[in-house]
Amino acid sequence: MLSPTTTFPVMPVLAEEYLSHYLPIALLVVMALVFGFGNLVLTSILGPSRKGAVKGTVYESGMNPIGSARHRFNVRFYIVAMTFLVFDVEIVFLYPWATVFPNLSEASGLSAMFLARMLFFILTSVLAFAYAWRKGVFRYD
Amino acid sequence: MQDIISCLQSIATPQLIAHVIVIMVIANLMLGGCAYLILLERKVAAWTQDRIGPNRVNFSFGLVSLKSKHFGLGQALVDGVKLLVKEDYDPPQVDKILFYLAPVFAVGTALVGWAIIPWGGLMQWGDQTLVIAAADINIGIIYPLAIGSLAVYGVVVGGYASTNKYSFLGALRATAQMLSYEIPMSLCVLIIILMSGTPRAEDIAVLQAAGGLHHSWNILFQPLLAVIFFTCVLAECNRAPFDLAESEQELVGGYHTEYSSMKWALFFLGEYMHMITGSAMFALLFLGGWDLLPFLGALPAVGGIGLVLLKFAIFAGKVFFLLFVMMWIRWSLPRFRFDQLMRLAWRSLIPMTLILLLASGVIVYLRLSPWYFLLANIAVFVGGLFVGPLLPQGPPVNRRVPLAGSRFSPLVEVAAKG
Amino acid sequence: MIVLAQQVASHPLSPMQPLLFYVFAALTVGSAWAIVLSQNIIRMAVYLLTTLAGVAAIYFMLNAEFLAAIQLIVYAGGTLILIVFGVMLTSKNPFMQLVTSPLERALGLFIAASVAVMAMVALLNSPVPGGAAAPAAPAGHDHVARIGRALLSDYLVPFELAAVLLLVVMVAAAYMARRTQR
Repeated sequence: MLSPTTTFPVMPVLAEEYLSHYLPIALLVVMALVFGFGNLVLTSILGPSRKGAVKGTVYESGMNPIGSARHRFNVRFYIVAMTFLVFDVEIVFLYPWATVFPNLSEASGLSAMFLARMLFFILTSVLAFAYAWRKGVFRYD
Repeated sequence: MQDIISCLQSIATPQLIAHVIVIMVIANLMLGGCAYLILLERKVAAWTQDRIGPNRVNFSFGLVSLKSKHFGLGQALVDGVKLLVKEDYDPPQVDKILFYLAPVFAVGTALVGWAIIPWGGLMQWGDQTLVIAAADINIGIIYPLAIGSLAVYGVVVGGYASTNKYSFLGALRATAQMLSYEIPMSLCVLIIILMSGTPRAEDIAVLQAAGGLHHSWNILFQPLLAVIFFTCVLAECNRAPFDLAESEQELVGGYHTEYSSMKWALFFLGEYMHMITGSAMFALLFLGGWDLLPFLGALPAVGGIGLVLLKFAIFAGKVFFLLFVMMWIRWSLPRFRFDQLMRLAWRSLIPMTLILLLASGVIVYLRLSPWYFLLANIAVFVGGLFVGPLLPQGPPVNRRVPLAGSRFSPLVEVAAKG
Repeated sequence: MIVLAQQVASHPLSPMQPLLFYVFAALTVGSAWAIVLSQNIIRMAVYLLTTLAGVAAIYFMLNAEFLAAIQLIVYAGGTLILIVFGVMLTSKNPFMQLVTSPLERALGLFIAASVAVMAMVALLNSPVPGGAAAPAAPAGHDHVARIGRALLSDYLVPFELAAVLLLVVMVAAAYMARRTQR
């Protein structure tokens, strides 16, 4: 499949300006990690360290803890996460539309079509929202 | 070795150097600023509650004797040192790896998220136009949302790793809250992209600063959207009145109950940095970024170093004002209850932003003047006032439990019955 | 290998890019490995977060910035939280240490191997390793807009189907919520 003479780009070779797009962000990430972990190391070196039987208990405002903190929780939180995800994905699909839609030229005649297609998309999410509301998903009693 | 040097030479373009300078300046300003924001917060609290606030610590630090108290400005530095030398205690029940990772997540996402804020606008450098921001990426204002959606892990992981009931409940609440308010926030950003036709931060600022009746600050066109966005920023930062994650009356400290010393302080720093990023986003999206006054188009888009500094000062001033408003709100409003918080997000903010999105789409399609956005905002607000009470409501959530001697069932009635 | 080394030497930018690429690839693979080795479900989630972030970083390096943002928003910020919540909710003792049985191990190995074979077949049939240079990223800042144009014209059917699918998901979620309230 690969002839010995073919070049094998490790990465697509990019123009210099593109490197300057993500290099600053890489720098920021490195800075954040150094700052975060550096502080953790510093504080564990500088501070005193004493242990004790009572100090080692879980803090529950001075009461002796009853049972473990590892509880199952209300399913409502799961529903919130689920509903969030649905809307999150909808919005992600809408970003490209919002970027292209205002820039369509009047002459191209695409505007109405793009609006109609997007209205269909948004209206399904409105429908979903209305159904969820009707079924009491957003009731937190 | 030769390769690396030539490589460095070829990538060290003026634009990259500008990015690096901005990163160095702003990151340090933010970290130092956070210490003083905490002092400011205490001063604002004192002002709201008619107290004096911290005013004793000056810059002598016990080394020299100074008469002046310097308005207590030494407090921030002393607090920082104090947090570093406090005991860094790991309770024995915690999940060690995650317990250490959580504060790094919290502060890390906060330190990375502000990258696209165009603090200084554009600068002319020879024949090049440099963007004075930490990074100039195509997705622009979508980027802080992407990083912000990771911020929830600091809370979740910290709350889980602590193995404490308070922490776990606080983490769950905070997660639900941050997820719920991310949707209206993203919708607000989406509408701004739709209005501007570009997600790039600098272009959005330039459009608002162009001057004239049709290019002005977005807050004038979309006041309701601005209020919704600001509410979401407060909720995403876990700021009062949405600080349920750490409502101290119920949950002690919430997700950071078991944290101490600098590990705790990293959570705190993260919160304040998120506040700065949120304020900067608000200033960028709604207050014209670095623009001086609406309608005038007073500042040119591109200029020399002096203009960049002026723009930065204006931008920082707006951010500072918004931070002050956040503190003002914190010390004035009581905390929301959890069900109120969720209802606010799902039953008011999301429907309103969805309708505004539809309206904005139609207005953009018809190529109407941006003042129709204002009309849509007013219509949605007034409509909400009238339609809100008509929508199906659940049963009353805050049922009053009769408790002998409480405000709602006084002892007299109980005694008369008995 | 020699060709690769020549490539690296010939282009002034190339030392930097493979270096960054290998760092992120190592991060991705390493944390994926940690997921497999770990027995604590929340730790696995955190390692999975690192994996997803590493993949996002590689997207970013390929100038697919929007894809990287989606990776973070949808997968890291949404799906992973959903997985964590789901695991906490459904298993009997949600925080137990996971122990894999030999059967599960064999099944996992089989699935992993088939996915790997599929990925290799797809990779070897794709145009990139054949020597054709990857299409140069278009200049300018219309990156997201191009995706939007494609989504609403050439890929309209999948796009609208996604909306319908999301509607179905939402209805299912609402149905679940109703069941739990009774």
